[in-house]
Amino acid sequence: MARNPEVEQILEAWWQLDHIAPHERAKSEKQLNGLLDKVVVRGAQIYTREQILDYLWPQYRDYRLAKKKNEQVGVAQAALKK
Amino acid sequence: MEKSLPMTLTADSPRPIFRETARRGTEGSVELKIPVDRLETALNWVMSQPGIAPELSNAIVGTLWLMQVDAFRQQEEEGMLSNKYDAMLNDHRPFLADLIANGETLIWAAKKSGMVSPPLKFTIEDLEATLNSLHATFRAEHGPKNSQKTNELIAQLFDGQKP
Repeated sequence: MARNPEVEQILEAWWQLDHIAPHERAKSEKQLNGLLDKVVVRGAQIYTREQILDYLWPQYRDYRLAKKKNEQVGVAQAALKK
Repeated sequence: MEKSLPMTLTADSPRPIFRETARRGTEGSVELKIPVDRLETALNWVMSQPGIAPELSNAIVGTLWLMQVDAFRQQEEEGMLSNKYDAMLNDHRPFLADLIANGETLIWAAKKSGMVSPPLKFTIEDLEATLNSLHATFRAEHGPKNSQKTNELIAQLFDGQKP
């Protein structure tokens, strides 16, 4: 099942923060927090960024796994081309 | 002879994350794995030399810490890929806490004494963002969980419903 596009955006921003080059991490964190704050505001600030991340955690683990699998497929394909 | 050091998180390998590190290669560069204890020994020797500026020391420690964080992330994902992640969680917690503690000390020192601009061009703010990402992982994996009701209400926010 396709994910909600907003969830997808947050998962990608979270993944970027964990994987981007060190000198881009502050910028990447701002981007993630900006996306989370939109949800916080929509929820009348009842929920915190941390609670939203906690809600998304199982999906984030799946997202990381899928990215890792794709990375491995890419490596295997590149090796086959050589 | 160099000790053979484990890369997987098991009860028999108390601090594997700090034993070997991998640097994520940029496009076209070779990925290099270096036993961290060798690297640490070399860096500690450099930093113990009289007259080494704390700003330089902080940049060196920062570079090493970022490599450790990358290695930690890589190990988490290898665990996920091999379906061993859940079995690693008891070890994951103290390793992550250790990384967080080292990051806190590093950032405290860098704010106090400064940090020269390292070749990787990261700033103290980048170190803080990395540390925050580790805190987020710790909370999500080992911290208190949302109640089912809270999760249901947050799910509704993503469906466009108001609370």
